Amino acid sequence: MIEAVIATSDLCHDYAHGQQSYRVLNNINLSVARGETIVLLGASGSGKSTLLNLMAGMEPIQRGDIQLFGQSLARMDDRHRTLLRRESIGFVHQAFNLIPTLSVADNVSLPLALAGIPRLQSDHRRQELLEAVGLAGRGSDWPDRLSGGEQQRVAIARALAAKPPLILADEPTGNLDADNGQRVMHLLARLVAENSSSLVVVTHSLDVASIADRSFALSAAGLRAVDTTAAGAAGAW
Amino acid sequence: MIHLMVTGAAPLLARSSIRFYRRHPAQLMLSVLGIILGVGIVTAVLITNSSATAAFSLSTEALYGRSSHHLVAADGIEDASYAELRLAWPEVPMAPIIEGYVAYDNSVLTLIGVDPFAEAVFARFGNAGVDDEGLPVTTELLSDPRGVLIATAVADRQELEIGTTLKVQTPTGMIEVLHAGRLDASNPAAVDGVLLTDISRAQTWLGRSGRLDRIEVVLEDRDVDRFVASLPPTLKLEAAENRRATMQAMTRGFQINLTAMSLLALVVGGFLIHNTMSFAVLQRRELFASLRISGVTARQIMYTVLAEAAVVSLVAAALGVLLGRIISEGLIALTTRTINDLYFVLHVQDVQMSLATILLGITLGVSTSLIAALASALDAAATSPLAARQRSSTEERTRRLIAPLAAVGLVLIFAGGVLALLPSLSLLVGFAALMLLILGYGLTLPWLIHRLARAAVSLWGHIGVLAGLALGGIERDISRTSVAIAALAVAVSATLGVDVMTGSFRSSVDEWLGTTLASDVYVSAPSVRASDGALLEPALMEVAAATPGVHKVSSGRALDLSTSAGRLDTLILEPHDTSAESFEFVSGDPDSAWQQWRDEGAVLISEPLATKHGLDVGSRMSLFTASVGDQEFSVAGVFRDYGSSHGKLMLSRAVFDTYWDDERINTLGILLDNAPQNEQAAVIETLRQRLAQAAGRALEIRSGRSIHEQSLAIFDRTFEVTGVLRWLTVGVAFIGIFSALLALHLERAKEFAVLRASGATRAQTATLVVLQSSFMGLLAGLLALPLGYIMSLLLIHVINVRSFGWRMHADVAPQALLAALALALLAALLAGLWPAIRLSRGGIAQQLRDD
Ligand SMILES: Nc1ncnc2c1ncn2[C@@H]1O[C@H](COP(=O)(O)OP(=O)(O)O)[C@@H](O)[C@H]1O
Ligand SMILES: [Mg+2]
Repeated sequence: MIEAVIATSDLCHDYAHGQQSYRVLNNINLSVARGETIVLLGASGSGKSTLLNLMAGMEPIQRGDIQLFGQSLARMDDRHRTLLRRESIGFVHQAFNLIPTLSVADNVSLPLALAGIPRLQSDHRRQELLEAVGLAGRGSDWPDRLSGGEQQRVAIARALAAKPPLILADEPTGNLDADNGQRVMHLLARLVAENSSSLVVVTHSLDVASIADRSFALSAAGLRAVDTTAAGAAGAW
Repeated sequence: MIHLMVTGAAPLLARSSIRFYRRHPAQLMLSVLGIILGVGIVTAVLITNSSATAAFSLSTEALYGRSSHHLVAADGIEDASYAELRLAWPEVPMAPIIEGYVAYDNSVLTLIGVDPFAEAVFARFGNAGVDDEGLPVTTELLSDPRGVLIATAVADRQELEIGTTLKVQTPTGMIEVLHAGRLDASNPAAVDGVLLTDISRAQTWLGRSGRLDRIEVVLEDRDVDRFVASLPPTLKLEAAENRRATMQAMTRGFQINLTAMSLLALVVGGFLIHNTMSFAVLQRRELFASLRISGVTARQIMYTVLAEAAVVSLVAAALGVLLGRIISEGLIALTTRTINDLYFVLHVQDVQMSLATILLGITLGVSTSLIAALASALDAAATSPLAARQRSSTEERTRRLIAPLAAVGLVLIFAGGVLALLPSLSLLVGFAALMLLILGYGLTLPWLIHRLARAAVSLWGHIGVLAGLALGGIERDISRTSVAIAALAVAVSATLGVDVMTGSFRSSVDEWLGTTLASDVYVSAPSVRASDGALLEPALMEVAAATPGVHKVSSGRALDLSTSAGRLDTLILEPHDTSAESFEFVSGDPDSAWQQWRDEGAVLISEPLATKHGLDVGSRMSLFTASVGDQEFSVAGVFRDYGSSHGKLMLSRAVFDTYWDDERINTLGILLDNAPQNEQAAVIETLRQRLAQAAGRALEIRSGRSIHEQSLAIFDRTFEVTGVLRWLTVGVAFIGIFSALLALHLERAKEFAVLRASGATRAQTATLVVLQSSFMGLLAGLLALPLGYIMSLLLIHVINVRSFGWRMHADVAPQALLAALALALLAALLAGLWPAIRLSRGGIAQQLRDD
């Protein structure tokens, strides 16, 4: 078997609701190959965000395991998960989540700075990315002066800044109108491809499913592979 | 408010406010706590002052009662004069009084000797001489030559039973008195601390046989002139009111200073409230914008914010008043001790918390809060519905605002400076100047902070990403950070100012004690209070001078003289060759002043006396002498003296002997021959024996050194109250910075989650918080230094001079500056720890989800 970028094995996750706990993720087995783009579908509340957060090492694993570049996240403490995330994962959120008091340029540089990349090098990389997302002239602006689509492009630039081999995107177009959503999704796909990174993207938008190498639907029953064709996907949810 | 009610939007807006504070309970609690503390401190001081004043008037009322005037003489009235007066004016009620201090079981009591027959007319000691059931005690007890009536409060405290004897220390030594009955007044507190006995017993015990302190008289206005005309020149009639006023004036400066300190705490509290309210507004900018979009007017928003401040501060101020009542217990104890140390014996039994005090405390708290909230309310109302949604517009608006604010601040500082330099003696003007300076500086702070933070970014921002984020965050979040830093800076500067003032004061006093206590050894009769003037036989001077090893002897006599500047502590000094060196003249040429005083019958006055009565070299003042009554003297010099804020007069023995027929003295100042310490110790031992033998009792012999130390100890006790208030102020400031940092960092919880999602470790985010907090503390500390320094100058050169008449040199100890810096840094660091821990604990996914 070719080495996977990330692979979950029998991953389960429960949330406590008052006294009771209920299962959100039930025996999830998903493996993402290098350079592969995976689309995750599923009804709201089906656990897509939970799965992505677990994959990014942002929440401790309860049962099962996730192998990120061959390393077990379940057996890692928060610090090591963070360091691994810093090196290998870029995250794009539905709500953009730019830091409002950092300029656009500084937002993009943030992961580079956190990783201790020298200033000169990081300035160069930042400029490259801003150009790639078409915001070269907006570096000194405040994030809240940008439109939603522009903000999400900054967020994509930020996620890609440290050239992580894996990008996780949680409904990146969920807060955008259809046109903007389409543009942002294609930009993301293109940049990920140029970087030869892998991408796991959660989305409801049907036609973006076409960029996927493989698609899955998440539900209480578990993970189920679906057709990447529009028609097939439609039946999946 | 009316506007709100009419529109019917009030309940909705109120619900929105309540929901906001319920979601931010810590923030609400902290701001409430700040107001509670601020109001508590002010109220405690108000209660303390009014309790002391009330106790004072209660006791003067009970003791001076109906008397309209007092007859006094230069040094006591002879019994015979009283008898003559009685015969000459049978229709005028008169009561002779002698008063002095005695001690029992470590507490100082006032021994009052009265004429029981004369007292009947005055009826002031309502229930004098009753037993435990309130029935009159037997005359048998009263006629016992040791009999005294003991104030009920004292008897209860000391558990003294009627008919028992107790050993009491008097100026003439230990004596045994008999508890013959209780001394009750309608209010027992009025006569607290009093032992009442008959005149002749009191005269004997106090060592003033044949003399009365004063005769109290009840005169109709129309009789006054005739009465005065009939008096011999040795007697003087004073209005009873004057005496009361003089005593009250003594403690006034002290009380005013306490009040000022407490107001300072309230100002710091005000900054804190401003801090909290502006956060509460900033955090709801989006909410307010939504409300505005849905049709709520700017004015309604403003009223909502003000109403919030009013409700929160009303509740907090009411609790603050309660806290003040609790703090006041301790404060009253400290203050009474100081008044007893410095001025007169006072027993405060009743804590006075009048409705006026309660209302004043609440009003001060609420109005400070409203003023502090006004800026935020206007701010909330002024932003356009759309712009308010953008965080960057808030920051930009703030950045645009800080320069004009700083300009206004500079104008206020300038106005404060001008006020401070005005040649006025008004304390009020002095405090106004102080407040203007604090406020003005507070307004320039955001600009300074922005500048400094920006400079720090360019200096150290590239050191590391965390340093860059931490420093940059201060500049970028200037609307939030500047308020917090400014509040801390003002609080720290207040403590620094008070610190430097106290330190300067202490070192001036220390230095002054060093020069003024020029003799090696001081001899005095054992006395209950240092200033109660137990007498020594003049012959002791020769005994001392004749002792081998003694170089020079000077003598001093303390008197309470009636002068054109009121009643004054007077020192009659028979100097020795080097006595002149123990005076530092602040006005007048030292040599000629000394010479005129010694040889030409001029007087020397202390600095507070000169300041308060506008006297200087060449001024004339009249003293009431024993032989010719009022007599004019010219002032030859003004000497430094921290012994009495009321003022002090010095007469030479030669002049005194001309106008008084009274050889007695209170102290001997002895200069020893230069010799090794052990030989000097032997000389002192010989002195002790010889003087005791000559006097027929043991005398107190103390080194200049030990008096020096004791005086400093009293000084330190005096400033203990100030110290307590200072720490309470620091407490208010700490709560301020804590709540500010908590709000600042928790508001950014989501940002921290984003940082963590982007690869920042927990340690990194915690370091970021701590770094930023410490840098804010450092900034606050640095910015506190200039204001603290200026405040200390103002306290030293304006406030102190105006409230006490004492001038001193400013003495800025580097430790004080370092301590201020450390205080700010530590407060900020401690305040940053909790948010640091909380933020790094929080789950990332959870934070990102909360949107
Ligand atoms: N921290 C949490 N505590 C309790 N329940 C949670 C928590 N986070 C998510 N959930 C619940 O888990 C379920 C899955 O959530 P999520 O992963 O966000 O779903 P999706 O992203 O597919 O909409 C939802 O029902 C949500 O309410
Ligand atoms: Mg989701």
